[in-house]
Amino acid sequence: MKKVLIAIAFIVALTIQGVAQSSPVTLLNVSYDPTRELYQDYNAAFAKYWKAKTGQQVNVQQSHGGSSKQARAVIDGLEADVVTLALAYDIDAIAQNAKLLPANWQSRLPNNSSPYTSTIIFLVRKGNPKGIKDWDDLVRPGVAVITPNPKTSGGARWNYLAAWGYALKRSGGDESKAKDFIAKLYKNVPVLDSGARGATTTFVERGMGDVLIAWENEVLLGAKDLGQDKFEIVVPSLSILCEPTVSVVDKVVDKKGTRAIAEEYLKHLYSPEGQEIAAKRYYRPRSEAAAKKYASQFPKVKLFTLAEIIGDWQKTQKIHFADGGVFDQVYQPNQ
Amino acid sequence: MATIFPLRSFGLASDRAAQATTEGAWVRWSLIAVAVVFLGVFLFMPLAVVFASALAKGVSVYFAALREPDALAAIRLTLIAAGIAVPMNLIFGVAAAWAIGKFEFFGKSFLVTLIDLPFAVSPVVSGLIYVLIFGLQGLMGPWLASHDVKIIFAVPGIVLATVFVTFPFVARELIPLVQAQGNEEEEAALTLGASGWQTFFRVTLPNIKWGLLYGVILCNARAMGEFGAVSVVSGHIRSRTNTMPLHIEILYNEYQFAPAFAVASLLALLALVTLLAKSIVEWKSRQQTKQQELFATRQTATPTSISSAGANAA
Amino acid sequence: MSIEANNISKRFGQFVALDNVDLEIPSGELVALLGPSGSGKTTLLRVIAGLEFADAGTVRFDGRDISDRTARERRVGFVFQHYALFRHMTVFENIAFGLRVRPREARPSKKQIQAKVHELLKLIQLETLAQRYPSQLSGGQRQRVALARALAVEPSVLLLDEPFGALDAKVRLELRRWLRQLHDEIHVTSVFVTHDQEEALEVADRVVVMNHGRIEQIGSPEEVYNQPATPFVYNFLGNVNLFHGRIDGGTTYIHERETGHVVYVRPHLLEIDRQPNGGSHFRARIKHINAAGPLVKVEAVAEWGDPVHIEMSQERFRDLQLIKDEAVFVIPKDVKVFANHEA
Repeated sequence: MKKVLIAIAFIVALTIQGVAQSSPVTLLNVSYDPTRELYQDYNAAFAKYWKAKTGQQVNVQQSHGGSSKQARAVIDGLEADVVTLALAYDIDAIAQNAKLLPANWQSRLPNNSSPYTSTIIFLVRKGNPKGIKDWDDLVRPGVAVITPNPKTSGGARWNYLAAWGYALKRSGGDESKAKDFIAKLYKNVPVLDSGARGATTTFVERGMGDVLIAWENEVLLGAKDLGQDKFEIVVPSLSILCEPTVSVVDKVVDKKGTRAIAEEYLKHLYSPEGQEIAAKRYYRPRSEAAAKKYASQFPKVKLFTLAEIIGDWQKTQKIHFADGGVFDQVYQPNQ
Repeated sequence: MATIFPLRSFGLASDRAAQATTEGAWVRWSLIAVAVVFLGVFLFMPLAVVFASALAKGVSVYFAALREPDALAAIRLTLIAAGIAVPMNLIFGVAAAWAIGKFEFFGKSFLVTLIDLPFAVSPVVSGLIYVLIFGLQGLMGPWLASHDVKIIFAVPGIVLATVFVTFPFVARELIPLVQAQGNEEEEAALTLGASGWQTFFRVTLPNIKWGLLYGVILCNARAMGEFGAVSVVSGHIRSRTNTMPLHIEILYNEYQFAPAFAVASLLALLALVTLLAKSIVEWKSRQQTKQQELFATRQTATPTSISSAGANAA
Repeated sequence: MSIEANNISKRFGQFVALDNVDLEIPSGELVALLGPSGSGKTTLLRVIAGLEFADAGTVRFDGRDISDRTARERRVGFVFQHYALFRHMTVFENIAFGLRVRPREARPSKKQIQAKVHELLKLIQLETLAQRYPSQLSGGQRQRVALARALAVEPSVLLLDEPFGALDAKVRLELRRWLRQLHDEIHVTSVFVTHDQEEALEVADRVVVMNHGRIEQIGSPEEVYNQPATPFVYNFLGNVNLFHGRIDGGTTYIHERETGHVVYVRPHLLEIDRQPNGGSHFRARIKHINAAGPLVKVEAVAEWGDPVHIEMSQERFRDLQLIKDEAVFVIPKDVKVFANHEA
């Protein structure tokens, strides 16, 4: 009995200690999978900046996961001061389902609340044995394509939309031809992982597939970790401008009294320092200065926006990814 | 002579079974071969891989991974969750086993079924149940939010989920034990003037201690290793709501394989320690039973004459 | 200490275990509760001990109503059929238990406890086995330890539930004689439950015969055996022949079915002879003879076809030189007649 009491006392002490540790201002940034390195750097920089500006200590905590899953957690009560997710649709979901932020959240920050962008490119095996150069090579019979499930993964939706946009542009806007292209593409997908990280692991670790469709930042960053001698980057002629979005979660910051610092946290992403950190972590910066400085790092690729090919995310979701949408129509597993 | 600790079948029954087999040698050897290959492929190999991968980048990387603040936080949270879940389930398990084993009451079979529920339900579903109850959109969410009580995506949620999934271990282990032992020793203690607590601590508890310990060991192993339910209610806030299994998954997904396996090796070590502890517990209880059986047979072989004893007493 | 149980009733669900039972046990007596299983004898014992509580009725010790007291407060010594020794404690610890759990102010000193336990170990002749565990003892030894444990707390009454039920026949015989001797020595009011009529008759000062939750008869062993109050008692205590009969003007006629009486005769109260000898008799044919044992058991068929059991001494058997299938006369020496509805 005595031992149990000691154990309980120990736990209580640990818990109290845990509470005491978080006494300076704490922000929680709920983000998606591939931004870990970006925000690791940025949080440190921002803490320094904020300390210099106000003298206040700030500790930014991170939570990473699949973009939609993270949005769901915020809806269910994960108290994020800011959300930095893969697509606007996921933040829309928070606004709609939990009313934690206003519907017009996207207009509150420059560039549609998207401080950095990325695009979708390919990773192939060393020597490019299948000779993959562009989107058209992905629909050739005998090419195995690795991309996650657009129903569950934010990154996968960008992959899908990049392919869709390419096919649409090439056929001069013929949607049925684009649909055919998508159908052929997904016929070449042997396994649909549920998230972008899972797909990368399938390609890199399990050695499945000839080509991985992935975030540019993920591929460029990962190239070092994954081993340059095993893979090659292939940049298609045309791809989509991915716009990850950020927002303050109004209800949370108002309750916690962290609105000022949370807003500054996001605004600072647009500052020269923030833009440079994003560029260093292979996100395409919005500011021209940073873009110029890091131009050599990013491959030249013609980009189109979501608005150009479909419209906003609500419409995109309804047409392509909702039940019975285009993806459901063209994708038949195991055929 | 009745066995003193009817701890399931354990090794005791299999020892006897082995003597009873009369199968040909080739059947025995091929069965042993199958078992060895199976164990090798499904147990030893993965275990070896875990440690090999953990040390792949050297000992310094291994220890750096364990000293890293996020890893330390995850280890601490895991200890907290297990440290709360195990004593709670200990108390609950003993109470439930006592109630079920010793008394008849309305709804008893329902309670037994209920205890098994966490075994029957997928851990992910158990986690979701808590989200549905305590989540912001859930049953109690708005009330909790307005009173600033955080349950899910915080330590209480993780503890709750852990308690839930480990809930049957102690009770399940004890119920058959308590049932087999019956009421008589407790009744004897009562007639000898012992209070309820005295009866429990001096009579009941010593009789169930091996089963209890066994249940606690299993409960602790599961509490520390639980992934599914905890993952759902965690929120994955680094250094705050990640337990060891969640931390391992994150590291793995970040291509940090050596650190991931370094933390995983801690869990693997825990598993080995658990197995060892379990074996010791089994061995001890078996030892005791065997010894007592031995003495008992010796006693019946040379009975002392009672009539002469009686005559002397008189 | 005397025990009084008045109007005790107890049900388990639909089953009536005790039906308005009245029982008085004077101080210092050794009483047997005898009956078949399900007769309520164990329940009555447990109600007296406070291990069960009656639905109705009162229990008194020395005139004090203790119906609402718990087993702990009643200070009874209880011995269980399966000993219920604490399996994780040594013999010494088992016996000392009742002293050790006393509240601090009433607890004897270590030395006193040691002395008391040794005294009891001496009484049960198990001094050398003090450090053994119960599982290392034989059944008879265990039961003696159980008894010593119960006696350690100096109980006001000693209650034993089938104390010899789990022992083999020889040990059982020895132990019950020992119990009788022990009781003569310490004189604590004792009640023991048994379903073995021989045990009850041999050990007890008085026997309480129970059936279907009721008391059939209370009396000394001699009384209940020789003057059974009911057909059940007659039947339960010893072997008996049962005939249908009729009473007419003080004369009993057996084998007249419609007459509404049942005649009981113990086998040793039937005599066999080759002549009718003038008195009451009937004819029978010998079917089987078992001459092994102190008494010779003869199985015969009465003239109307029913089997009859007769017992006689070896001496008488030798004199008669009976053989199988021989026709003989059977002479009842004493019979007991009950009206049919009682049986």
